[in-house]
Amino acid sequence: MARRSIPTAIAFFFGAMMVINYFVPWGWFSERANTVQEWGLIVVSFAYILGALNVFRVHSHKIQRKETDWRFSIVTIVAMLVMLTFGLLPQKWGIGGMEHGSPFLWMFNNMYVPMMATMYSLLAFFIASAAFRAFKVRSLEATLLAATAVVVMLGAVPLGEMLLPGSAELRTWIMETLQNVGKRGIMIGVALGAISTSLKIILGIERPYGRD
Amino acid sequence: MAVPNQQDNQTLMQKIETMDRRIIFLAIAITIILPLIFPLGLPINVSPQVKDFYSAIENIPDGSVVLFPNDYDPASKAELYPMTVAIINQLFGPGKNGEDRNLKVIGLGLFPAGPPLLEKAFKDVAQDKYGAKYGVDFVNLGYKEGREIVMASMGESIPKTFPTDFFGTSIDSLPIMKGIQNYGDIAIIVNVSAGYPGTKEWVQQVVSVFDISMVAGVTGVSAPEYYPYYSAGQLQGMLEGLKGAAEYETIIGHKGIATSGMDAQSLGHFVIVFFILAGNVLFLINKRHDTNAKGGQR
Repeated sequence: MARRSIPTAIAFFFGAMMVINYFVPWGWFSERANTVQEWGLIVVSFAYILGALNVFRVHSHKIQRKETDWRFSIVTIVAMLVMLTFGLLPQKWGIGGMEHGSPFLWMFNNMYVPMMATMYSLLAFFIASAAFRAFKVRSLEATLLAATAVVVMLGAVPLGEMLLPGSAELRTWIMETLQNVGKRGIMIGVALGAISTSLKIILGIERPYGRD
Repeated sequence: MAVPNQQDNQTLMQKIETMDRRIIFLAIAITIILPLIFPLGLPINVSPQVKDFYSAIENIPDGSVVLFPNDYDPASKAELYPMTVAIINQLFGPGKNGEDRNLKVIGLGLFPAGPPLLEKAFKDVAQDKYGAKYGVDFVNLGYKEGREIVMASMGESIPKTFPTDFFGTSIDSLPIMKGIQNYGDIAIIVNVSAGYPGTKEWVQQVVSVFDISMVAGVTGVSAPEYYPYYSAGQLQGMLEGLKGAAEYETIIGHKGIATSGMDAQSLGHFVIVFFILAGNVLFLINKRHDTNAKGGQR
């Protein structure tokens, strides 16, 4: 009984507190709600420690069992430890800190940034390939989708405006009218769903925080 | 006797339709690399949302405090870093009449890998180009985990939410932070965002609660998400992807990496559109061929 009621009571108390504070930010009450927000900041910070430990655990097991591509796990752990060490070392030691020229910032700018940017840039190649193979006008809906995509893509760049005059204006109309209407509908629906789910959690009808 | 494989029975059109995708990759690579080496200098027209973005920053009173959250990481650097650089150019550059605007800029990031990028932009542009001083004219508060909670918490106290800056210095010791308590001391939020947590959450948690002006620069792929906020006036201006950044560079008169990248993006879009059209023409031809072949068999 207590295993069910205590988490539900905690969720109700803090959930209701935040909702009331949003609509009635009154002095004493607001201060308490702000303190709870500070607790929230502290609690979520621990997620990083758990995340790092989990990465370490998963990849250590992979190395121990020599699973597929276990050598990449060594790279992951070494990279994580090196970045973590240089990030945590104090600046006064000469090799720590976040100052310009520090090893951490050097590795960030010259290794991490190019690698992440490269991964994301590969999307351009896969989008082109997918557009050629999968974007087929098999139905009326697919035809409308393809025609809209062509106009929006051409209207988004100067060359498109030159090749297809009026595409920029047409794109603006599609984005600000057709797209906007659909998006608003989706957003309102999502917001109503979020309110409904939040109320269910606050009132204990749905309990993602505990097992029954 | 040689057995004919399926490839041999394909028509030329079918072979093209199922061609090696590395040919497509090569076409994209060429069309992106060539204009970067040999710029085309295509004209850039400034859209209304970019003009609004520029005006919103231009119209804040001299000496105001600007909150500058850069919520992105290196994955979106190609699109968003040019915006960060251009925004810093407008914030620290001279005003309409050539006067020093003396704006105070408070930067931060809600993506873990965002603040070092902001730091580089601050150093390269604000410090080295305009001679702005760290801690006096601008500050980088760094990253704080907590997403929406961080935004809401700053409404109560910015110094409590960010007790130290990106370098670990206590913000009480920085002259720029003297007298700054919460959003009541901020004239405008200039957000550069790659997703969650970002523009949408700033609007929901801060703009609508604390009644503060906001403009945003966002990735091209996420821009449709923010049009309703722009139409409703919750965002006073919007930069949409590299195109928005290039238009913004045009309006502030500092042509930079976004403008030079627009030629490559133009040709890239053109090639993708070409592949969509070509793929469909081949699809329709092959469909007709298949239908005819089946009719002949009957």
